[in-house]
Amino acid sequence: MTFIQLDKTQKQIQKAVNDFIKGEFTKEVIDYLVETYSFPEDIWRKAGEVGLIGLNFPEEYSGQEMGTFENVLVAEALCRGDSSVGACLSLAGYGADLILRHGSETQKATWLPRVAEGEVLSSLALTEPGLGNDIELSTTRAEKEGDQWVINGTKTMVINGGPLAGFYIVLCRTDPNASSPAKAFSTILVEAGLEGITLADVGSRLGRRLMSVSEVAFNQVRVPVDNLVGKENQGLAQVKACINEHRILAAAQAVGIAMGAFDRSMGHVKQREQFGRKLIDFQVTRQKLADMATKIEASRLLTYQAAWQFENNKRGSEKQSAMAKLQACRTAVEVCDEAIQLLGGYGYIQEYEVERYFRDAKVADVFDGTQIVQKNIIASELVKGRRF
Amino acid sequence: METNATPEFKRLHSNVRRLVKDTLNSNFETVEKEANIPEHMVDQFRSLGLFGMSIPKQYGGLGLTTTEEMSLLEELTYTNACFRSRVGTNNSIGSMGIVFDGTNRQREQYLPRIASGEWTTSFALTEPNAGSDASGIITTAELDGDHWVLNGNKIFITNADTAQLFTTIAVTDEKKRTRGGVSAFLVERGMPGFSIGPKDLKMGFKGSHTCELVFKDCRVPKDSVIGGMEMVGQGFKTAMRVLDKGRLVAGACALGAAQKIMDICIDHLKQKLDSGKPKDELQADQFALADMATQIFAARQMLYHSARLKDEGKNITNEAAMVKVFLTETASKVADSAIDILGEEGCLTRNQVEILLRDVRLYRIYEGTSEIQRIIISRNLLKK
Repeated sequence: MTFIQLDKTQKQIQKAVNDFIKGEFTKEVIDYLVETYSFPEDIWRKAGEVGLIGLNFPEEYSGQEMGTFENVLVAEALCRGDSSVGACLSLAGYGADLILRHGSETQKATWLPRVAEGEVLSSLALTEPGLGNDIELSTTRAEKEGDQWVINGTKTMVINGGPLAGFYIVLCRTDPNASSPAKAFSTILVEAGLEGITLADVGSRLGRRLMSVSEVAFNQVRVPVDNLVGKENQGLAQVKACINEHRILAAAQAVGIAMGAFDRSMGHVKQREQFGRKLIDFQVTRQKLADMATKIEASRLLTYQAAWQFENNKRGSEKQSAMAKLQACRTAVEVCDEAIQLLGGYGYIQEYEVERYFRDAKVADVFDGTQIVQKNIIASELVKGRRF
Repeated sequence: METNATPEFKRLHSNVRRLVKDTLNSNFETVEKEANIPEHMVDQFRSLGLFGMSIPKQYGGLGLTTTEEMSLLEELTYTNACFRSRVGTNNSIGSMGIVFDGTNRQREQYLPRIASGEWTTSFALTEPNAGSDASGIITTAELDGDHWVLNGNKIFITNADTAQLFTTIAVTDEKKRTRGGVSAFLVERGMPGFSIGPKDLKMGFKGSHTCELVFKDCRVPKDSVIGGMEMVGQGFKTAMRVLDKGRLVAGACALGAAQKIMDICIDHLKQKLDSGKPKDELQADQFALADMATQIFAARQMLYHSARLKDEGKNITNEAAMVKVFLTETASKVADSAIDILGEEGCLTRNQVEILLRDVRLYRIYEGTSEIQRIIISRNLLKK
């Protein structure tokens, strides 16, 4: 149930994604992927074939001409189906959105179809070792030499930074003398596999273990000047706008993760008996489920609203995205935590999945900005007067 | 540590602290990665007497007071949680049945080996359909001449991979069940009909293992009942007493982990400040840190207050349940908040909080979930 009446196309998309999940997210396949820490390559390529990636790209670039709202519906369903595989598919276009919003016609024509068709993954290379969320302190630089950019520096926590990546959008300092970070950076498209690029996995981590997350070092990497994405020295604003959009998707993923954990909890408490009763027949179990469902509904509405505001260019969109991300990710963490508790000892065992949902939720909670970062954004928007 | 600690205990305490600092912490991630504690470390536990902290001195243990034991546990969990878990069962659920209700012969036979760490012990109560409701167990033991014949399955049994001795709870009288129809057995590894399943794949505690136990017409000698034949039927009480003792232990372990997590956050924030990040931009982090410290402070007072009451011989059933709920939930909250302070870096295993977050989650589940503790607390409060 939603407050928004989905139109016919949106309902079709929902059905398509749910059919896809039913067909592809089989327990056998997922167990294998989880066990071997493998990217769901087959599922991803099929998702590209059936049009579940790059939904919001124009048709000429193999997209479906849809909007952020439809992207939200898909991300939510995929992560509900499986928190880890869902994240891999939802984040396949992580670096492509910046091209979609700011790229040249050539950049779009070259890369968007390949991302949408499940041929390559896309990456944003923003933060650097030790910087955390303070990307405006980045030191990776790009210098113009003739008709080329020469890039030097190291980026880390690069999602999709692995063998399947097609390109990296790298946040580079291009004006070392700029008066403020807002005028100092540009975003430059770097094809994967160029000479001078070295990848190192960041190592084992809490969640989202199926995707590659890497440290990417650029040593005298040369790309044509035309690889500048958007405007020179306007990179930081472009990246911030892109992350703003990603926050809505992060919120949608979190809502999906929470729903998936809820589904599994409900399944368990309905069949598990202790003290001569089904767990569902205990008042405390019901209160917990009610809390979980209430949080999910609230987060879902906030997320849908953020998507709608973003699409319609409404004032306050940035605040709304941050609120949705903050709320939905907290919901996911709390709901998954409660799911583990409802499953008891089984909740701690990998086979029962909710512990993995919890770990994926906690990573979603931190990526695209921690809680503190979201609140900083919300507060600065509130101070600007964009209240309710 | 208590200010009136004996010199002997002070020495032990500083030895444990040094062990953690010099040896265990540098193997924090190795133990996680290799899912195993190297035997030379286990030998160090043995030589410090850590397998017998709570076993009486007359049986070769350290015979520590509850307060002393909690203090050592807090030190020993200021690192990867698996180290403590290696000695954990010998100090609590795996040995206390014998300490509380064993015959003299059983005590003499087993406790010295347990205290020295020669033998590792396990406690087998939980079954696939009897978790929080331990009274629902269906493993049976039937007398057949000079032997008991055990049949059933036990799951999530800690240290089962290395244990030689299993305190196993089984139904001996189906009609009476928990009212005099459940008994505790001492089952040794290798007894006929007793097998141990593969290690469970868990969220955390990677270096500490749980397994399923299978009893298929497993024959154990008649005198394997804890306390001897006159204690047949009294096993449920033994089991509940054993679990009662474990509540403070879980609290102390959660506290050690919470302190470790907070200290990692302190180091991180100091580093941020040193690298020029304005203090004003870290105010939220500072407040989060203050909250952690406040909760840890409260937690520590609860733990040692309850431990002292226990040492004075008071019944602390209610206090122990409150300690378990509050301390284990505090550890989870601290871990959750720490990841926000540490950001994406905090999600990496090389930042030990990632490991601790997964490890502390178990404390809210095992040996009585938080829900069971709340049932105990409220039942005591509403008792007529």
